[in-house]
Amino acid sequence: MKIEVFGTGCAKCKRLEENVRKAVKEAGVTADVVKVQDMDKIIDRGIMLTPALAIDGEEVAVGRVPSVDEIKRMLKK
Amino acid sequence: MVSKCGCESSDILVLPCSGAANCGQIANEIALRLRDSGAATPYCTVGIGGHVKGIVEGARSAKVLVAIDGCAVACAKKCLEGENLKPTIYFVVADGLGIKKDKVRPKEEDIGRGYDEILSKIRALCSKGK
Repeated sequence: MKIEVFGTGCAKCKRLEENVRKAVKEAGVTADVVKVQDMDKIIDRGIMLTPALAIDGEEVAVGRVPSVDEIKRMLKK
Repeated sequence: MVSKCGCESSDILVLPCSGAANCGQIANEIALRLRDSGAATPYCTVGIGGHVKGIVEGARSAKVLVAIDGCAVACAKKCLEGENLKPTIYFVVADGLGIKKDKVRPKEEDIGRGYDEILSKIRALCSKGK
């Protein structure tokens, strides 16, 4: 599973990454968590608001920070 | 998109129809001026109409959606409805500003009037604490 966290490094972006890593650990899944901080790459993906989260290439949250529990539910889908 | 991290800009999104007629382009210009003044963030209406997942998810996260249609055909509103989204503020340029829809370039004075109208609606909404 590939998880991408999009954001350039502000407090919300960091919180999202923390929530993702915690969710992955608690859900017990094997995932490659990648932080995408390059604005050009973020825009090229069609993501216009950050922070954003994609799981296996699909955007599941854009412009907000889902909770650890919500991310765990996303991981199970 | 704002050059800094866009984390604070998803509160108020503006979705103009950006249609081909003068009214559609007035809608587009209003959105851009709201960005310039820091009042709101223009967003990708066509992305929502095209069901682009990343764009739709961003709209769902917004606190306020401002849809600006050029005319009563209401394309921007229909784009939102196609994803079960409803505008918090809705404005139709032709009716709201008393402009005849035409295949001409928009007039600066009409853009200015439209901008003032939308800005006052956003401010009124924000003053209510929404």
